[in-house]
Amino acid sequence: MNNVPLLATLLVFAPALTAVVIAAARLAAPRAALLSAVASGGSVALAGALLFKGPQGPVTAWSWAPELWVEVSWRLEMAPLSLAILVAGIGALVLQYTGSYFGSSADGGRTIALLAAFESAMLGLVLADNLFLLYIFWELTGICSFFLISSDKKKGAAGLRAANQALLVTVAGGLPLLVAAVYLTANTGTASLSVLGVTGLSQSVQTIALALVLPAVMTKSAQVPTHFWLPGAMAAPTPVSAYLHSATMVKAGIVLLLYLYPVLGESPLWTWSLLPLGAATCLWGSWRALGEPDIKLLMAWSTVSQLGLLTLTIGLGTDFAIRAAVLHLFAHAIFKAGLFLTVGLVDHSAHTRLLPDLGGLRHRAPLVAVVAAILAGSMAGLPPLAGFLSKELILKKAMLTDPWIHGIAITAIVLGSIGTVAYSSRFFFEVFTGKPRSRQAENAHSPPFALLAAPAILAAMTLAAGPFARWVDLWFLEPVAAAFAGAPIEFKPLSLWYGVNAALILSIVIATVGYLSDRWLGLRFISAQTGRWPTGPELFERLLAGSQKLGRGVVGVLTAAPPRAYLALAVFCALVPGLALVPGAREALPQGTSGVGLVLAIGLAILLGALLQARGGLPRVLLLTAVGFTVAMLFRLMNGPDLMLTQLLVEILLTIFFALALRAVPGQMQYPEDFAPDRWKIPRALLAVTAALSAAALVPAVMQAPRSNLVVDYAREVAPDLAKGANMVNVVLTDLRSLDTLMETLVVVLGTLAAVGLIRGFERADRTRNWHCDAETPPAGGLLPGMAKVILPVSIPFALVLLFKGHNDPGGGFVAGLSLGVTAMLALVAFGPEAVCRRMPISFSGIAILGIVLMMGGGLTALLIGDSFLTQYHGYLSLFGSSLALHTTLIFDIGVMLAVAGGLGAAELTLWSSPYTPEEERP
Amino acid sequence: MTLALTLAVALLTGAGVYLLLSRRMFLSILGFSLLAHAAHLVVLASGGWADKAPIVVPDTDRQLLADPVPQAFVLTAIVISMTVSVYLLAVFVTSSRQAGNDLVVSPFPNDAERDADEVAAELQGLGDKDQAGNQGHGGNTA
Repeated sequence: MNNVPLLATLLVFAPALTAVVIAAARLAAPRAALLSAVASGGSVALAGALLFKGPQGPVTAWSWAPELWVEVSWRLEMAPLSLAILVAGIGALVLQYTGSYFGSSADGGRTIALLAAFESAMLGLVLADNLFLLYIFWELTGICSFFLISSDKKKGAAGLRAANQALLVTVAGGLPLLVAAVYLTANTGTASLSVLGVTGLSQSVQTIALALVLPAVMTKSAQVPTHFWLPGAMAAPTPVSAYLHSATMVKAGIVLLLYLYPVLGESPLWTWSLLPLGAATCLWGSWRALGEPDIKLLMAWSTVSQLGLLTLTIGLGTDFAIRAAVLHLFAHAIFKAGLFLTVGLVDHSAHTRLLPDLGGLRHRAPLVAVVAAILAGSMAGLPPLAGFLSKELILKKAMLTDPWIHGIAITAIVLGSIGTVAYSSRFFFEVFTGKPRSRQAENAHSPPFALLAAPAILAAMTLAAGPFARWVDLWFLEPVAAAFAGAPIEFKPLSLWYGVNAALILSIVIATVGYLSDRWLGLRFISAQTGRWPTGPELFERLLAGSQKLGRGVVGVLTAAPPRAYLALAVFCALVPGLALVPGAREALPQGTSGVGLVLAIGLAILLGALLQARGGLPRVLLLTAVGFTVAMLFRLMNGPDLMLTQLLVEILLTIFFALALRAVPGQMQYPEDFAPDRWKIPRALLAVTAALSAAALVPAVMQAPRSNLVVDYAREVAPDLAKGANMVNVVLTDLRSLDTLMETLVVVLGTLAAVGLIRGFERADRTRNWHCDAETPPAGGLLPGMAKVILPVSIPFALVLLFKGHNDPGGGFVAGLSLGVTAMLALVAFGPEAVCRRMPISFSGIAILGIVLMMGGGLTALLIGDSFLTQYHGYLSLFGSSLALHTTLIFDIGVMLAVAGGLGAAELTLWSSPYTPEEERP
Repeated sequence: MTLALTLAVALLTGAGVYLLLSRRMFLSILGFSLLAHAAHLVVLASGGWADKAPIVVPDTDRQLLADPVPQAFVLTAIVISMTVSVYLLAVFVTSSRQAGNDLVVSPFPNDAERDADEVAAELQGLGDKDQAGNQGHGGNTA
């Protein structure tokens, strides 16, 4: 049984499991640290075991979403596994240290759990084969680091701000990485790093992908100018910095570059982006470290500088350079983690991290001084330490490239390294030699062994690397570098001594100049001055505040705009494109003119002119009614008798509704004092004319447009015979497109009932009011009741006749419903709501709902029979020799009638019962 | 008929848009009704011109009958436009009663400046509260 995928998954998630246990059991720091450190050790062992099994292709632990190319697959090869050992190994040491560092304090357990969770994310990142999985772990490290940076509660809001910045910067940079993953997958059909590595991509694809990856690398690995979050992140407890900001998170960008080197390394952008980026970062970090009095911040700036050096080296873009970068990646991870832990020791011993307050610690904590000397020496690149090996290698490889690149790279490396030697010596000599410069430094004590163990082990590793360079090479560097470069590399064996050559001479120059410049030139004072420039965090805060202000400003302008501005925009967007039709429309116009039609159009012009000129509500409403009647006549001319009938009834009802609405609002509107004439009149008119032209051009266009006769012929030739109805409009409404009609009737019911709800809801005080049987509204006096008594007995049968005839002649459910709506209004006004309701078994809204139920019921019955929803049936019933046509469409149409009539009745009742009463006349 | 319809649609759209963009909701509703008429006429026009109403009479050439499908669309559209007008009138009634007039104004005044300060103050308060909470916490464990 192949249990490799399972083992690899366990390797990644073992630390996270302990995080869960720690959180669940609320373990205190020492126990939590022990548990997590053991789990990390387990991960190291697993990675080692998998290494011994030999490299194997990607293994898939779980096909997560294969159709999206997302799967949990691990790359169990030399390079990822050795990085996993580094991550988990330093993780174990740091966790052990953290346990003693926090002692029994309450926050310790939480921080350790977070560190363990972070370790899992980092392990996942280095082992992931799938690009999307890699991206997920990439962001997980960012999220964990947010909590870790803000975990020092003594820092309060400042810690939170630093954590926020780190998160925002790295996540913003990470997003293009996701795009890059999608882009690469879309181009190659695979999201697997191993497969991508042997897939030759075209240079343009490589360049685009690299451009997308670069922001992620820059932000995560703190390259100038997005480096500023890293010194800010020193708000984190020191062990957290030791882990995140030396060996792991900040290395993620470097690791990604190394992983992508076989995939994207041929792009010309590779060298020309990474080289300047790395050079600038290397120099700036080194410069700022020189003037930094806080030793923890000094280490942070030093990390920035070293990350720049790594980027620069990878940017050289040769297999040899990759080999040098791999060595320096490991060397730096080891000595920088050790140095951060040493800073923690100094802080622990002397209770200060400021260089001006330290000094003379070598007498009080001699072991710490030895460890620090080894680690700082490695950082400065002194033989025989690991840092010397790697820096030597970088210098040699930089010389093997073309003169331009060579010049930039060597200059940056030499200057950056001089700075490194200077601040390394400054760190060591000012902390450990000389005389104590403060009482705290005088009272410093030696840290306990438990704290000293981890940095001592790291120092021992960095010390051993030199003398055992041959084995380091054979067992580690050769296979790992070959794995990164994608092919075995021809190289000289790694050694402390290559003979006298340019690199050695440069190394000697660097060490001498660096040491002397710190001792005598006082570079740090100049550097400290540059520290007073507006810092990255400040600028970033300003940028954030500015963007938020801009956003609020835009929202403010958009939301404060008068609503009609949006209406105007909508009209513009809808109607202006129609202007393109105007030229064509002129030729189509003369075809077919109708004298009556022209007369109606002229009448319309007069009515609309009057409507625009009219003052007062009621005159406008009556003119609107006249316009509606004219449109009804146009419908008649277009041979739409049903439309005419509907339009006439709707016009009557609308007139009633407008009049009721005018009755329900204050007769004298109160306008604000600064109410000026509308400044928009001319733009409105211009837009109106444009819209008119464009809409008018539509008419000839659609009339002349060639149309498919498929639907029309079916409606004309087949449907009337099948549905046994002569009125084709009614057949379309009740049979052909009955689902449409059902929905539209529903809209009518919802709209009218919503209007009812709006007005009734507004009159909150009238919550107890019985709207259905309202006795407050008296019947109208005068002639109206008498007239109603004559009209009503006729009008209800008239509506029913319209309904029944509708299948063959003009009429139908909508027309009948509208006609009943008019009848209801007459009854309400003449006899008062109370009298009407006493004669009605259910309320108006009940009638509306009954109508919908009837329509749905018929449709659902068809479904039960086995036909599709809303199938209608037609038959003849022979009775006493004569045949009677029976249609289920009649039931459907009755539903339409009831729904429309009920909705209208409810709205009429509500508006009629709520006339406006001025404040002073209210009871 | 094309010319008459074209003129009618132009007039209705022009007057409709002009009124729709008015400050007063009552006039906007009038404009909406006019625009609805214009829209109905355009949809009806898309059926083309025919000699007879779409009602089947025995022994007629059915190709002469008007296209019933746009007519059915317009019929329901007329009823729905009316419903929307009724709803808009209800909005008009309630808002006029509330405000004393029917002017349509944005409910969100432009207060970007004040907001910025408020947000800053809130953030400050958050930080202070956080610190205070931590101090309390530290006190408990000590």
